[in-house]
Amino acid sequence: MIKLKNISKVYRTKTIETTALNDIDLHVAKGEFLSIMGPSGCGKSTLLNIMGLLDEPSNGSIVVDGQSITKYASKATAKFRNEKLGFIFQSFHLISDLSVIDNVELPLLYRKISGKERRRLAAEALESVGLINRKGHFPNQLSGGQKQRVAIARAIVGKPAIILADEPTGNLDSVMGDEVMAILTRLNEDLGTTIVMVTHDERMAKKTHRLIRLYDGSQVATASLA
Amino acid sequence: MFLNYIKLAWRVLARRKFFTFITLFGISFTLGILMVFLSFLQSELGTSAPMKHKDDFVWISQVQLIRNVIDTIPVVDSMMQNGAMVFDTVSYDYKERSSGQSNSEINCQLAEKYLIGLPSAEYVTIFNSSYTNDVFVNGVKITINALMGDPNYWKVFNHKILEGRTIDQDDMDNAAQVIVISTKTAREYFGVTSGVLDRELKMDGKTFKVIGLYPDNSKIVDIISPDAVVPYTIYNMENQDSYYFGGFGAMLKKRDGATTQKLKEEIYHAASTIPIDHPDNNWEMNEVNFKPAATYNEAYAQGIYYEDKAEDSHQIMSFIVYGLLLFFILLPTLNLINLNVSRIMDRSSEIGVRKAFGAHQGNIVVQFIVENILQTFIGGLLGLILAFLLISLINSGGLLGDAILKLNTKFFIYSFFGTLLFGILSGFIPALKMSRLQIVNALKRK
Amino acid sequence: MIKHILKLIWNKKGSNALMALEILLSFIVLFFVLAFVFFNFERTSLPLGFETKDRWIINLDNVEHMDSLEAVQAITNLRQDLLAQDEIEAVTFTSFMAPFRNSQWSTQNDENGFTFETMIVRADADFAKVLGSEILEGRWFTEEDGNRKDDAIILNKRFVDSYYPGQSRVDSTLLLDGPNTIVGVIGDYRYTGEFQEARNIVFAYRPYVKNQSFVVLKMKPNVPASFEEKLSSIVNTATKTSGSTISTLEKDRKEDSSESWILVIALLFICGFLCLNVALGLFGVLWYNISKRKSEIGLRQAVGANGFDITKQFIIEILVLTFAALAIGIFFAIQIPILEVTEYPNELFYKAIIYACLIILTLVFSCALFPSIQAAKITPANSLHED
Ligand SMILES: Nc1ncnc2c1ncn2[C@@H]1O[C@H](COP(=O)(O)OP(=O)(O)O)[C@@H](O)[C@H]1O
Ligand SMILES: [Mg+2]
Repeated sequence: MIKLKNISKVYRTKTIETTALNDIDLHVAKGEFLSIMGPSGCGKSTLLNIMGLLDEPSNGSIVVDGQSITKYASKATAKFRNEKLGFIFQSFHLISDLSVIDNVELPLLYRKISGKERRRLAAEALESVGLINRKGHFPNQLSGGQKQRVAIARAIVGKPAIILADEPTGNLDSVMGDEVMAILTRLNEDLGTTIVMVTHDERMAKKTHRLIRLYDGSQVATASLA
Repeated sequence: MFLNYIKLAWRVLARRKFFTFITLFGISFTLGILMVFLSFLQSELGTSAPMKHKDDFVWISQVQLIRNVIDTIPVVDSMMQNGAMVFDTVSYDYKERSSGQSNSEINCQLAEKYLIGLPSAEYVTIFNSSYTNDVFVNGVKITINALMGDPNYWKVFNHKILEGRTIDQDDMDNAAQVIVISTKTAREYFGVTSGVLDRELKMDGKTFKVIGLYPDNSKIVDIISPDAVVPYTIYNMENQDSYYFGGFGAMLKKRDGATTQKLKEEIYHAASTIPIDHPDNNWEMNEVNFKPAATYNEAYAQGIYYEDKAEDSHQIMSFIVYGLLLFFILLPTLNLINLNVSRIMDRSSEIGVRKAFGAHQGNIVVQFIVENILQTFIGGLLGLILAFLLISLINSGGLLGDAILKLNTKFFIYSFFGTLLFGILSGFIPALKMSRLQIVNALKRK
Repeated sequence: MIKHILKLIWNKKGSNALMALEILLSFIVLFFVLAFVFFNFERTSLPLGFETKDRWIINLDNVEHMDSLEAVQAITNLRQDLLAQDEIEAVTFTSFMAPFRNSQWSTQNDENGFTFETMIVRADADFAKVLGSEILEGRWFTEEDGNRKDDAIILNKRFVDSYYPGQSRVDSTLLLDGPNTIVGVIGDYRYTGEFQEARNIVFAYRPYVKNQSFVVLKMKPNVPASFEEKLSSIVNTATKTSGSTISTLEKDRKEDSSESWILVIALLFICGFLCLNVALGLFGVLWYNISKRKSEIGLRQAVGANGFDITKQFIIEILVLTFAALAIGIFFAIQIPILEVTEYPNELFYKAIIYACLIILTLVFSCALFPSIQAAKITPANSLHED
């Protein structure tokens, strides 16, 4: 599903050069649930962003769903992200000016879908995370766990083949974290969605198929769990 | 999609009330003041009646006599010889300069002879606009700024005729004491604004018969808004100052297919055929011109800022007006851009999310421009209300003298596009800046 | 501290440059508007040099078209008829250079060993009495001045000050189309209007019968407007036309200056609006910036800054930016007086620069104060809290 080859990422500022990723080779299979762990600053988010075509690697090639990516700021890439990828962030990134359902609808806005159909799909997604009764609320009226579930609903509403989650439980307590994890697992099992998740939590990582560890921008270990 | 943009824009505005207020204040005042200015330009320089053919006019208000002299300037080459200056050669330079000139309004016969019949002119009207008389009605003074004109006056200016007729050739030939009056004069003199035909108006020791009525208009320029018009043949032509000077001016309307430039050239040529050796030329003048021989706008500009050539006045005035306008719009625009930019940074996470879920650069630009345009249109609407208030204040306070500012369809169309332009201008830079945000950076911020 | 703030500003050059540009533009607009307004105020603060209260003016029609004997007769009759009225105290006949009329007659002359430029006004013996001119030296014309061989002239003070500073010129000769004897010096006669340039004037005596353009009347106090009709018929009879028009100098003065006043007021209004707009905008931007920098503020407090330090920092930040913008603005504005681009006095521009700077600094300071105080109130616990 995702093939990374010789991926490097170097951040250059006037004074220093940071190698965030160093020659990463990684293959994520279709339907796989992969977790990434590593100390803070080792490049996990960078890797995820590159997989999600949010960021451009300094070096190396990337193939997602059979498509080799070369241009990042293009319309085609935006369309690709819209249809194939779903994102979940540690700090939710819900749009505070939009209600819950409007937030969930967001990815569909960039497709040619009628308003009625959008509503239906968004409601369906909210239903699946158990928040349909909160659809008129605004983000600041929700708890952290609820926010993250809304973010998940937003990630899945477009039925993406891949979901990329950057510490989705990082801001949540363990009960809420488990809830979120359960939803992700179900998604992976029921719909066969490929999921890549960055986490700090060994417990969460154990529930995935495979775990890779990063250290200082390099892949140091990979372990099959399932 | 578009509806969604508008919905979102509305939400954003409603949720950030303080900023919406600041923004709307700036926009509404800027647009309101611009609208008042536009309305002023429209009523002064627009092409509504009686100025429908304004752009075909060439205006002549004066005749000018010039005395050109040729100066002989000796140029001496000198050189040093044994420590003393010695003349070497002397050559002469010749320079033409004007050593005197005399401008005044035109002699009627001179205007008739040299300005009627130019090939590029469709109509020529000759008039004397300083036939001002105080008359007393029941002890109240009325000042009637009448114009002595001819039948062509109504061919050039399209004053609407409410009652009766205009001056015809018979009236001219017989020097008939007939008068066409404005509703203002009718109101002040007869106390009515209709049914004044055949009534008598006493002025200048004469008794005029009212033959027509036209609506008031409120231009500042007196030849367009006289209180009454009478045939100029009633004027005692003996009273004119000389063969060259009298109290008259002319307005020429170009023929279809001709250009005002061509007409101007014909006027210059006609002036050059005026004899300069007439005995009335007792100041040794050697050149005659018609002035300003310029289009309406050029002559108008010359009235505000005098340059010898009306074209120059027009250029300078346009420069000043556009410059002031530019500054006036630039500041609020910059202000809005600044506000927008800082708000956009505030919303960078939103932009990151949108992009992550598939919005491309164009989507983002459109979204923020729509937001901004919606905002400007609300501001524009408030501005319109403000403009109405200001205009009625100006009109009722008589701040611009007799000039009355009006709002018409054209004004609304201009205002609409002005507002749109302002919205796009002030939204574009921030929108572009924002749409270029790298997704990763956008999400990291906060 | 300043260095630290400069660094902060530099790191956000993009948005700060936009802010500085806005401040710069505001300065330029203010500079021009203030220069224009000061310029006009300076002129209006000069005395007109003549009375307008209870003065009426008649614009005579037709007399100039009469043949000269007839015209003299008409003017003589008119004067007698006017003086016979109880309501009228005094009468002067003038040429086109009458109060609030735009006619000017100016001349340059170098026959006296130096070049002077002056306007010339023809006046009769009653001119000073009717218009209330202030006679500083010598006397006004009398009718006997018509019998002299040379011509009697009177100067305004500005003329004397420009060409004979500190000297008394009464009874000396000035060459101007032949020899003229200066018989007096008067205050001023700014007949072209309150907003017009004050200029040198030479009054030349001309008997009233030859001044056939305007009549100025000094009325008894409280003459009702209805007297105009009677006056009009007197004038019509004498001039054999009804084309003469009557007005009062008070009304003419108002009309003459209203255009300039409207322009000054409109400019001030628009400029005030621009300032308010810019102030609100600055306020908004600062407010936003500070709320965006909550975590920075929290951190500063965590490492020991007190509330005043925070307020001070934000205010200094914006003031440094303002000074930078003003410096650029002043650099351009000051070229006008330095290079003497215009013929207007340099002090005017310096004054405009100073006032424009003061206004902008006040505006910026007051806009920065509230958000900066607000910033100091942010508590570290609140601002460092992640989401
Ligand atoms: N925009 C950037 N500019 C410079 N360095 C960066 C940037 N983003 C990330 N880095 C550096 O790259 C490294 C990896 O960052 P990141 O992938 O965010 O780590 P994490 O594993 O904690 O998610 C870090 O050392 C970080 O300092
Ligand atoms: Mg991270």
